[in-house]
Amino acid sequence: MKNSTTASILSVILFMAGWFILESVFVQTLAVAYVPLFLGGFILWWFTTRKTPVDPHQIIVPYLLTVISFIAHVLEEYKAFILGFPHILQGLPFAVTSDLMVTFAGFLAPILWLLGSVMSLKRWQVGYFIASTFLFGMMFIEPTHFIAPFIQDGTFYYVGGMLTAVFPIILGWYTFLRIRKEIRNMKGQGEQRTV
Amino acid sequence: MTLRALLALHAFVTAAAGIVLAIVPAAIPAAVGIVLDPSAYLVAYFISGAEFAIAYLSLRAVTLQGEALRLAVQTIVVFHAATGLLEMYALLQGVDPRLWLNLILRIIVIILFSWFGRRLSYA
Repeated sequence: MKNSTTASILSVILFMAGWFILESVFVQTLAVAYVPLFLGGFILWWFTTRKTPVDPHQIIVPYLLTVISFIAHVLEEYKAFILGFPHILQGLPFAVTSDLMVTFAGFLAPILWLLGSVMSLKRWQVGYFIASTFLFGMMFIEPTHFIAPFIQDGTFYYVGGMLTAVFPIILGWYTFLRIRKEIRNMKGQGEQRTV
Repeated sequence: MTLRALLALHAFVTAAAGIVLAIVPAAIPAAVGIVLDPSAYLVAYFISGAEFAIAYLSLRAVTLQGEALRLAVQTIVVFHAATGLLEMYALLQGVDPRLWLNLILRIIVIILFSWFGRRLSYA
């Protein structure tokens, strides 16, 4: 049990290292944006699916629907950027170009989130970690679309992706709550067997 | 939160810092307004190596017990305390005040490890 914990943490760290290298090749410094995502994902994973790896078939549909809504959301971000609207990363020490944005959010991110679903279906701990990272991003990072304008200059205005951000947020929370429900069911079944 | 969870999180965070310092060496110093010239990347690489060592120590400590675990926890506390003191020295010399956030974080880490490690028995 303890060795499997160490092995799963190590596999997660090694995957994270590989992903950072891949991101830095394509988007250079913007790769740092994955730091809070992976950190949140790790905490979420540690307290949920690491301890109780749920049946991925029970959550795969809402998970994939969340990925679809995320891809649609990225399209809005990209179109808004091209049309010259303010974007969510404004003010941060990243030089964002349309090419970087497409590579980062429209190409690499969906690959990672889909990789998470494939690896979760294989019941690999890394897969559960990626899924947790994705859900953390949808539940806690995406809502910053509604906060960013206030942080940037104290007023509320449109930033790219604001209109469609609500869909991955809702679906992300729904998927997470389904996972929680599955965990409760599994724990309940375990207790019944013990009795 | 248990000591084991804290160690796992610490292993993950320090590994992430090591990876970022190795791949994009200028990124973390830039967060506190330090522009790192490519000729000075070696400094970031040294820190990266240290971060990996601390990450490995934390990772292995997840499965340790007794004296070994106590030593690992103490080493982590010493690492953050020493780095924190050096950061304070740098702040007194006029480094970007955003470094205070890092210092506060280190103090929190020291408190957490001291709190969760306080009941570890002497072998």
